[in-house]
Amino acid sequence: MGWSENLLFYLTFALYGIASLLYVSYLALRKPYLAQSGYWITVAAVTTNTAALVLRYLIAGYLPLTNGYEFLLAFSWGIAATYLIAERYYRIPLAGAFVVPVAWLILAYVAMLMDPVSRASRPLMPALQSNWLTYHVITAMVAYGAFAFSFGVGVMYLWKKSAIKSGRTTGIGAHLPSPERLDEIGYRLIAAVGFPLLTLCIITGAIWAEFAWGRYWAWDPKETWSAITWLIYAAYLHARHTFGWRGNRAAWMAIIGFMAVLFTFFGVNYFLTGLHAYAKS
Amino acid sequence: MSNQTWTDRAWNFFSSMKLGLILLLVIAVAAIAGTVIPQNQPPQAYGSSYELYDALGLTDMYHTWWFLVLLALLSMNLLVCSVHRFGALQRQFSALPAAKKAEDLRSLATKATSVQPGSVDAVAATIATRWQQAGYRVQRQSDGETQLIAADKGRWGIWGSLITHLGMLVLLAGAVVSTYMSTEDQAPLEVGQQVALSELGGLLGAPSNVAIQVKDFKTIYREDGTIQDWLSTLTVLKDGQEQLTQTIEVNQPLYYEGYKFYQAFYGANMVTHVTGPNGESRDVRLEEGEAVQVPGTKLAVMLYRYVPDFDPAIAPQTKSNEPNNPRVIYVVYEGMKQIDVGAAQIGVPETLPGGATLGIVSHRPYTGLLIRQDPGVNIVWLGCAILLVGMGLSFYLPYRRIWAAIEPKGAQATIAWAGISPKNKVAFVDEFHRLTETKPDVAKENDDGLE
Ligand code: HEM
Repeated sequence: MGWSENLLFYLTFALYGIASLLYVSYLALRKPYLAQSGYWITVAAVTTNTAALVLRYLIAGYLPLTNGYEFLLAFSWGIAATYLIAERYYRIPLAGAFVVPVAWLILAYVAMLMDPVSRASRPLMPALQSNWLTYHVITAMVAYGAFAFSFGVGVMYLWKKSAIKSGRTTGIGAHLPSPERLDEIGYRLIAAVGFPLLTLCIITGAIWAEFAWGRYWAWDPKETWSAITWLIYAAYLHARHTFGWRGNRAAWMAIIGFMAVLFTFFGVNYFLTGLHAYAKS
Repeated sequence: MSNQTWTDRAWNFFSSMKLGLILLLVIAVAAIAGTVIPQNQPPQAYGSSYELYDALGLTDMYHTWWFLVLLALLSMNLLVCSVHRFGALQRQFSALPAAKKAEDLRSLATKATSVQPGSVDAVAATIATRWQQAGYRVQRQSDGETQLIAADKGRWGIWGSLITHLGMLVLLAGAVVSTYMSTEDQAPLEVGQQVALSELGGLLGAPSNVAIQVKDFKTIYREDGTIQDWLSTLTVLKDGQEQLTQTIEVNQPLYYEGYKFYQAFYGANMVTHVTGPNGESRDVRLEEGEAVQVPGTKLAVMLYRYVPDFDPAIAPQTKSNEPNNPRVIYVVYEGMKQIDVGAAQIGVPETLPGGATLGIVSHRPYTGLLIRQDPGVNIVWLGCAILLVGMGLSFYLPYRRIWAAIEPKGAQATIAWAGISPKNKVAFVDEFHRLTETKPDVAKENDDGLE
């Protein structure tokens, strides 16, 4: 990897770190300027993150979404970009403290555990040269971004609930948005963004597999885990309607759903084997 | 309950969402087991637990009877539940929401009140027009002195979940067709060779008068020597007549009457002739990476790689994709130790250490085709399309209802407003205040009128 790519990567990494710090301080101190600077630093981070992806596109000559490094860079982008858009829409800056650090941690994983060779762009093996793969990964990125956010909102919900229960009127819990609002935002993130896009991601993946191998579904562990994640979120949506599973249960399901997302992405590569193994490094 | 017939009970059982939820979660858990236990491995891989695993179907879990029963139950559930809900959805879709009086509106979550100058009629007319312009279906009626308005929007969204479920059913049906009716086989074919589809044992029921012939096969290398793609030019013959000629590559199969031909693998047959120092010789057919023992010696020769345009300066990379100087790079081993490397020309014998010779008589690349016929695929794509339409309706066209009750108060009118949009509350609250020209209640800001 060239110095310019490295520079952009570490700059993005550092900016997410600073933004996380600002948001976490905002959580503790609740000075509005902290949230505001956190927001603008996140905007800067998303800008350099985008630049890093564009640079990789120029160097590799294809959409940079085919090896682990590229996908993680896109994953952090998906999380932070979803956050920025949702922040404009819902105005809950406190969520920044729960979401932006997830983007930072993902890049921290790259910085600490990925060697330069596996970060470098590599020639694409023939099966990966497909537009369907691009759509597959873009939809995954946005879906995962929304799921990461709903996870953050679920954690906020549980925190808020415990603050209410213990009757605290000061401290972080007291300043979080109302439980109803958090519950509703978490639901919309899953219903309007995450779940439909995960569906599209699985379908475009199946179409790609059909073109590449003549099999739209092969029960490969990664495919299977994406289906498991999908079933968990489908259960979440249905439980909400029939049993009125809102509140605590919904928050826990959003958290479990995101764990399944993370396992699909990391766990499958490290604990299980299958077709997607070429995306290992 | 006891006077229910068994059909009633079965109907209730299958239309229950509780069953649906349990099935979704049980299938998820079963699917997890299938990713943890390696699937379709030879018995040794499971060790002493093989018998148990085999009896429970855990070695091929996704095709085992109980997994299929779970999917069948889910399909029954989806079907019965859809039929069960159809009538109610139809009624909700066709009928306008019932008018509500001011006191009924107070019990709804999103509500407001306001006072406007003008007669009840004039105010009601303005509201009705405004809502119509916003795309609402509006109904106005009088209740004594009071005017009641009820309106709704996004009613196509009502069908979203039902359409999603039908899509899921079609998808599952397609998957069943794929599982039980698809056939496939593989064929390595050298340039010029052909094979009738019926000769491939895996393609049950394939026509015997259709054959596939390889006209050309090429490997495309990049400058750095890695493989970019494989191109096979294929001709489909029917009764010996050419029907279609097309070049396929990875991700671009050829389609012919329900059969798909995929570029799946590749290789080359190299007829190799080795002679030991004692004159004893051996003829074998090798592929890249395979080795032959040199008779009468401790040596073995491994054919490492075929290079179409050999140049010693960049070997083992090739200078171009054209066979300008075809060579086969070979490695001579003594035990595990490499003792020599060379680049043999096709048809020209090479002398090996110790006086043996190696001749590569011919190099004939073959393309590896995967041929598949799967009548379920298009059913699955149709199911996916229906599923996506349903989800689009469900999630992006939320059904919403809004009411106003307008009462006279001197020369003015007092208005009680309320609205519901169960699937998109936050965005609806904004829309509600725009439609009613009211402001959100600041004291209640914190919960935004959500219950
Ligand atoms: C994999 C299978 C299934 C998928 C993909 C699926 C998908 C969906 C979707 C996308 C919605 C709309 C959700 C929302 O608006 O929040 C929905 C609603 C619904 N589903 Fe399913 N579903 C499945 C299985 C089932 C089953 C087995 C039942 C059994 C009875 C069921 C019953 C319902 C009902 C009653 C609703 C209506 C909720 C409402 O409109 O208020 N679903 N489903």
